[in-house]
Amino acid sequence: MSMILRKWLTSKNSLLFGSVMLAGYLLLILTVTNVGQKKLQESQHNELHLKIQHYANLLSNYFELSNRSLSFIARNKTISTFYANKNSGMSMTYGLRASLFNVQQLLAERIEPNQDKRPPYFSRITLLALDGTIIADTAQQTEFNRGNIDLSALKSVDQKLLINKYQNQLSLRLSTTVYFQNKPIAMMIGEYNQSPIIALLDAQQYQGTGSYIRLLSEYGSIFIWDSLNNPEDFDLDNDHDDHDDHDDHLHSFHLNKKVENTPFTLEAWVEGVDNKSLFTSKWFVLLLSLLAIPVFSSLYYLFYIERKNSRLRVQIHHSTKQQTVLSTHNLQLEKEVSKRKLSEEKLAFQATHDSLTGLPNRSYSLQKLNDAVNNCQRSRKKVLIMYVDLDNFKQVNDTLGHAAGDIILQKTGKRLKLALRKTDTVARLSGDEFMVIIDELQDLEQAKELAVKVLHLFDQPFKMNKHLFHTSTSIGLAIFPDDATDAENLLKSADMALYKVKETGRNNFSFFESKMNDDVNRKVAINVRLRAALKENTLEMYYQPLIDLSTQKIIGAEALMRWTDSQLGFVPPDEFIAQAEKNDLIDQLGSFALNTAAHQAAEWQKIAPLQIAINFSSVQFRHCESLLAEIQEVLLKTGLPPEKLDVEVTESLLINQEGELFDMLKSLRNMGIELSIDDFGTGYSALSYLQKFSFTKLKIDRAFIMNLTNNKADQSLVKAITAMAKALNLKVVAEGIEDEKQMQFLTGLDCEFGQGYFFSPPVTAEKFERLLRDQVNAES
Amino acid sequence: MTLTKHKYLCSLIAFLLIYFYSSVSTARDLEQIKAEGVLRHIGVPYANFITLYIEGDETVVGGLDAELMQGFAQYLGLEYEFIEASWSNAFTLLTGKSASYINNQLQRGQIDHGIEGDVIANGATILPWRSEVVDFSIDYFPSAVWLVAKAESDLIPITPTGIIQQDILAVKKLIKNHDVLAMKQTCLDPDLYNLYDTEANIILPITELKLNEMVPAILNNDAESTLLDVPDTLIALQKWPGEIKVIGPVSDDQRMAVAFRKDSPQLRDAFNQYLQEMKKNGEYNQLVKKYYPSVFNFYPDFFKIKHQ
Repeated sequence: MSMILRKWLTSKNSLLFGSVMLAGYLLLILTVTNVGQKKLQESQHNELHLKIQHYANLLSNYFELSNRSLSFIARNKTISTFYANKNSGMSMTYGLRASLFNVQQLLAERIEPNQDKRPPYFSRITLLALDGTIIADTAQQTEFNRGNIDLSALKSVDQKLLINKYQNQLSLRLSTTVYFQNKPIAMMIGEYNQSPIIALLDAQQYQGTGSYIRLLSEYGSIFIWDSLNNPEDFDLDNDHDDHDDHDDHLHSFHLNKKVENTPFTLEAWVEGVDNKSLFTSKWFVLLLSLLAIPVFSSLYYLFYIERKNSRLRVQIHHSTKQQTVLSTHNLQLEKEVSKRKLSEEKLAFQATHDSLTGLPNRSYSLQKLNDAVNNCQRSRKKVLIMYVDLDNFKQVNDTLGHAAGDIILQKTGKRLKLALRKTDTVARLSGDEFMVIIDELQDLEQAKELAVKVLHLFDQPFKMNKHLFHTSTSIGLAIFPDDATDAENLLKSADMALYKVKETGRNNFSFFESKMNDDVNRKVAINVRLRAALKENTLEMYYQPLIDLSTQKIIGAEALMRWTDSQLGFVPPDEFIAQAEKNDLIDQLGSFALNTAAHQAAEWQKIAPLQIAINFSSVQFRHCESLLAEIQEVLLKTGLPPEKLDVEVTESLLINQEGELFDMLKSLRNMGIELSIDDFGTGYSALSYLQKFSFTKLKIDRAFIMNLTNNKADQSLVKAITAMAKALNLKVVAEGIEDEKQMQFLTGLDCEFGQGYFFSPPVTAEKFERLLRDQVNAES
Repeated sequence: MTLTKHKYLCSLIAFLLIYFYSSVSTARDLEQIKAEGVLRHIGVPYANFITLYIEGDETVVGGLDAELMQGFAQYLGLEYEFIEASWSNAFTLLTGKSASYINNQLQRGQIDHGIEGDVIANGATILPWRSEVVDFSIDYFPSAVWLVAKAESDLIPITPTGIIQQDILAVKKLIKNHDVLAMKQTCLDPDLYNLYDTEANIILPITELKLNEMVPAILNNDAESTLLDVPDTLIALQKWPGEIKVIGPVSDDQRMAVAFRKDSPQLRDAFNQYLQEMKKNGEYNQLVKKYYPSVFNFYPDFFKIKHQ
């Protein structure tokens, strides 16, 4: 609440409001002061007026009283007695003097202060006879001023105030007519005692103000009092007749008030009421207004401070915001860091583990293998590694989908882990390949047991969504230090063992034999050398004559590739071709074969109309369009007539091949190229192919021919095949005729063509050419 | 305070005197009076010399002489006693024997009425016949006798000539055939002034009047005019302004004094001393001023204080 209040108090609006209020307040103060001063002045003036009026009234009263007093004296019995006595004719000597004495006594009394110590009104009373003689006088020694005494005029009035200048002083006298028997008989002249008049007013003197009062008459003034502090401010001239009531004195106050029933005017100068008091001076007002300056400057300062304050607050706010931001950032960072750590851990984990199965991945497992190897090196124990490969896993993916495949992999991993010890490592290397590292291996027997155990793990099918899926594994085993001395070689060994298992039918295990290494090595060597051979053109084409059994004449040749490597020696064609098919060299080999054979055949056309049969790998037909183009190109280049070319393919080409291959083969046929199916009966054959793909020739595999003579089954088969081929309008070629009997049998079957060692093994081009020439020569 | 000092001084002197004269005097003098402890003052109510007024059931005596005597008693250290008298029996009370002025001569009575008082002070004028009876003190008051008439009276006040004899003559001339009230045995005794010679109608009141009843008498038309001594006149003029007028003098200047028995010289001396002192220190004048303020105007010389 206080925060809100403070905020409100220091907000700009409230400050503005406050300053406006303050300004207004100051203004109000000034106004009020001014008004107050004016009013004060007014009231003071009024007061003075009243005072002066009061004085005037007092004086008026005084004169009235004094006049009355003189009147009383004039009417006093003593005087009337005197006059009575006088009137009776008494002389001074005898009696009148007593009366006179009494009169004198009376007068003397009357100029003395009375019982109350009040000063007498008159300082001198003179009784004048109407002829001007002084009958009685309280100051007989002093000369009587007859200045303005016109007895004849005076006797007609009761009383008259007489003012004149006498001996440089203002003489103030009252004449009262003395009546005897209702007739003026004498004048009593009372000389006013001026001091009580002055004292009367003096008693009323206004404390604190300098003032100058005098009674002004046409003859002069009676000075009353002077308490002016600065008399030089006032233009006071006793003889001044100018009665202008002007207030030209800066701070003074001039008043005139007539004293009633007297010829006097009470003149007063009062010193400026403004000057008197600090609070009524104009300076004070000025000072007050000057007060505004510090007030406003303080206000401004306040504004300034407020601005600074607000800036500061803003800054503070900013910084707090920043702080909060930073702290949130901090928190976030911490979170991030922890996340990162987590993710790093996760990554680390992921780096070392397979995401699908959670098993250690290849690199990690290799590391582990290394560690195990190192450990076992020290402890002289053995390490067994098993490459476990799921058989036909690709088929699972294809048939059940990748999701199912993943599940199987996971379950495989689980099964393996469960089957093995915790210290054993189960890793997933890739795809469907798992590796098991078993350290602290006792002996070979234990290894065998373990391999069997693992193998039988997969007897149980995998259950997925009510489907049961059976699988099997191929396991390649290798033992350290028996099979290799380091991890890498160990892996290689296991891999080779696995390969062997895969090659030998799967769902089995095999230990590494060094021979496997050789095999692998050989394979690798073949690869390398083959490439070199291709480059160096050390491949050769041999030709085996194709004999027309009926004429026993060479009517064609089968081009066969022969390779003798400088390093490897003679490499059997099925070996290197198989490798070439695996290593993508087959196209090059095929091209070489095609080109060379075609060229050679074209050459030989001069000699005889020879047909050349070239073997094409199924692999070559992966790009059947380009193969077709190549064939066409070669034919064009070599000039070999298309009918003289015979494309030999194996049965395996035809499996699951539709569309493209069909079109291509059709195109070949349309060109006139012959099409032969090689090694018929050994692979997967679908008899429908024979018809579908419009083969021209069918070559019975040598396996059937080999034991033809003795084996009845083979005879039947050959017979059947031949019959079938004839039925399908296919020419038949029998491969691997080695003796006459076989030949005679085949001839008996009406097999058209044959080839084999009986006739000629595959020979070089020169040799073949010789053979051909010989035949031609023999014919002619 | 000087009075007290003086008092003691005087009483000492008096004592000595008394002691000195103790064996000698058989007469009633200061000593005896002192022994008695009271000063008996015989006074005839007269003007402002002796005034009597009744306050409740008391009679208060006041006046110049009363005060003077009271002062004198105090001066002597005595009690004061006032004995009222009349002009006719005053001397009798003082001396024991009557004394009167008849047919221009003193006539003494023989019967001893006993001394009732020791001093007469009431503005008694020093008259020759009186001096034979009593011993007067130093005079203390001036006087004279004037003729006072009613204001309506056709007696016209004389114009003073400045010579008193002539004025008297003028007055005497005037009163021929006019009623004039007088009083025997007093200063207003017509015989004293040979008024009968003036052929004026002297009226002597049947009932003894007090002097201050003279004017009321004329106002009462008992007479047209009356003799009146100056003090009384002064008072009368004030009392009845415009009703009476002074015609003129009938006598020369007279003196008033305090009367003592001839055999009380010490008393008289004592009084004289007292009076002198009073006069010297101005107290007497003050006293006079109290009762006869105007007298100073008439007889200024008399009251001048003489400093020795």
